[in-house]
Amino acid sequence: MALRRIMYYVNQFFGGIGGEDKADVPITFREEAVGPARRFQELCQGSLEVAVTAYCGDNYFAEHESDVLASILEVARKYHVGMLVAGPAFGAGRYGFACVEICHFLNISLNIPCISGMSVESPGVELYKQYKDKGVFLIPTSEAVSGMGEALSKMARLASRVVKGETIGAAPGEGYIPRGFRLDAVVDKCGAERAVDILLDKLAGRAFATEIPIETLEGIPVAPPIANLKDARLALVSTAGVVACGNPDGFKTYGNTQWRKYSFDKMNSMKDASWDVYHGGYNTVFMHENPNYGVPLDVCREIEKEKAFGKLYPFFYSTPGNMALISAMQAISREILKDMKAEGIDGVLLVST
Amino acid sequence: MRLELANFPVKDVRFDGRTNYHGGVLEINREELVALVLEDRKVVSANFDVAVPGEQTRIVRVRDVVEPRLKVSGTGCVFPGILGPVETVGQGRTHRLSGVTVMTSAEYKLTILEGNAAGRTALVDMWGPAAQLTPFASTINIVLMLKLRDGVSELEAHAAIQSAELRVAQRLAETTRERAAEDVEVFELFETDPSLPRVVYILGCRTTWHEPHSGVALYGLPIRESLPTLVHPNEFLDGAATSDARRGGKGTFPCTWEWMNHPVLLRLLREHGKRLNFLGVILQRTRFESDFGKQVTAACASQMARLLKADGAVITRTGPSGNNFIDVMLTVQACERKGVKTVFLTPEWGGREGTELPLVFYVPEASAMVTTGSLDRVITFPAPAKVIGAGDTQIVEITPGDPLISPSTSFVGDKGYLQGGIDWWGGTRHTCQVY
Repeated sequence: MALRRIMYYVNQFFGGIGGEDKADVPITFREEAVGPARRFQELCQGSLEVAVTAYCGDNYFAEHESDVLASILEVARKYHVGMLVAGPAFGAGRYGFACVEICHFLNISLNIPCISGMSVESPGVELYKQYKDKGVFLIPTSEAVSGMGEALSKMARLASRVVKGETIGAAPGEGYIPRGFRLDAVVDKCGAERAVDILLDKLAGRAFATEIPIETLEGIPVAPPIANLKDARLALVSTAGVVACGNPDGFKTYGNTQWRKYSFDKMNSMKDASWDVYHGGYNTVFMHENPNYGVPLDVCREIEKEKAFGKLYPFFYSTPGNMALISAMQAISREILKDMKAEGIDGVLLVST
Repeated sequence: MRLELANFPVKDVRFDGRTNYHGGVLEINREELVALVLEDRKVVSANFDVAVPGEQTRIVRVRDVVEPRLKVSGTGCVFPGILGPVETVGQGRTHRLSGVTVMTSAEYKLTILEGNAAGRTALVDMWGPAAQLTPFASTINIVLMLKLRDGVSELEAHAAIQSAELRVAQRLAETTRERAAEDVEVFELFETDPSLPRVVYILGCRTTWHEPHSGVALYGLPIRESLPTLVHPNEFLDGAATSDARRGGKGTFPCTWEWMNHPVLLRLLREHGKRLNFLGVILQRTRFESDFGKQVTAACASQMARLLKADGAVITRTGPSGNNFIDVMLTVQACERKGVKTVFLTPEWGGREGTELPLVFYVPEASAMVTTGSLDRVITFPAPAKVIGAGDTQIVEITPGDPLISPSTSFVGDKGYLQGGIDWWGGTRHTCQVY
């Protein structure tokens, strides 16, 4: 098999230029393996060759990121590199950050695999988990540089396999830091058997590995009360799936990614017009009979007349909220919020379904 | 309660001669069974076909699946409360025709046109990528095709479909009455070594009180807004739990066959007296409409586990509803707080690419979870050589209100299109791994 040519990235310190006093050194390229790249190349035992080493000051990268990325891309193209290896950056914050940015950028620009290494505490890891690039792998390393030998061995082992086109499996088996996406797999035992095994381990006080880690969901802070409700302009938002008659906007009964607003201006009740109900998560027969359950216009008009609040915004915001992705609903809420701000809405009644 | 489950494996099904089982061959007299089904005046036409594993056949409009079983001794009958009086089942001897199903494909005029209460259909592919996901690509499926008369209500449609499939299954199992079983497995919660860990199974089932059929019935009674019930695992093996026969679809509801061949129940029964002491099943109705209701069911289910002196609980759920999921997670939390250690087995979400969070709600006590794969993944269904199903098989509705599919072509869909496509109870070897 032909040697695969790679690019190697290090910071000014590992490029042999100097420490913090040289952190402003601009991006530089050398047509040879420099610093850790030399040891890395030896460890790869001929499976790949470092065609070019790039090094850059930590501060220079942070201050000129897009220029540095552009010149790295240009050089990577010029040398026809098939992979980028960066670091290891250990616990160094700026260096780790640069490694992840470069890996991400070259992976999406050239569709080449990229490997780096750093401590799991490094801020670069958080970024790596946000990017979730299928072609980028971070090897966990020690916090201190003393772990260089072990880090380079692991990176070289992984790089040698990637370069041969081997499929890289799940994170726990392969030893890289999880990027955070989850894929279906088939294992030896059925789920029921695994569940009983784990329970018996847990009961006996033996070590066991959960298959779904506990996540901490971001709390949603309670908004401060509206200071002057008497003058406030309120809007109705509903996820009950009440939509325009005939569903002209093509809502689905589950997994929606869009929203619409529909006018109920001059109506005193949702029964004053015809609506459709698109929602796969509850028995919609009741909502068909009385859409005020999902969009309580009737009651809102009554209390509007009683001057409980200023004015009801003449449209309601709608999306069927069933089995939608959290990210899709977050995007929808951002868009709705933007529209509400533009429309001068002070408060919202969000109706649960 | 000791139940002998006698196994009569089926290796071939023929529509031939009189209805008979001999040497692994099930012969079916089509006319006899069609006449049996047509005794119900709500059924206007009935027919049969068969699909075998590996052939390029797609079965459409699937609404429920059952395994033919027959009670030959002990109280009650298989499918108690439906095919016979309400008598507690789970003891004596039951025959099963294994490796074969009665799979009902039915067409009727819906009166509820969308929403969760509407009737739904599912697909079964006997080959290709979808075959890896469902147990029904590995069974010989005797497809019962029904058309119901116009004007039936939703609950009548359920009753007509269920009555047809259960009576056909009973008739087929009747062929084994005088035959010798290939093997017999005995299930019993006998007194055992007191040092073994005491384990209960909290079987969460999503039902909705205000739908024509709540989704799951026990002894024929749809479970509505009830609190947890203690059930002997053997009762399920005799068909005490059945599903809404109108809603096979979307893989979201375990069908009757899955209740009869429940992988967690069978695993715990087989481990009883060996590695653990299986105490029984807490059947927990979930998807309470308020946080208050969710807390009450969680408190009651965990209290029942504590009163049984359980050391540990296996907990599962049904239904992809996020609302329902919260009831189950709160039950995990309530058990752990009462000192009952848990493992929670569930499919996960995560989006098509697996980049979203796997679950929608977490409690810090859920330290042991098993995943059976993601229910959000999409599958490309290839074009079949043959389509089997009731009515027009060129255009089929999976979920009322959503786009129609053309079953004779290739299309993209999700696991929920498949009968049994979502693994609620860990019957498959599917999982998710982090990359």
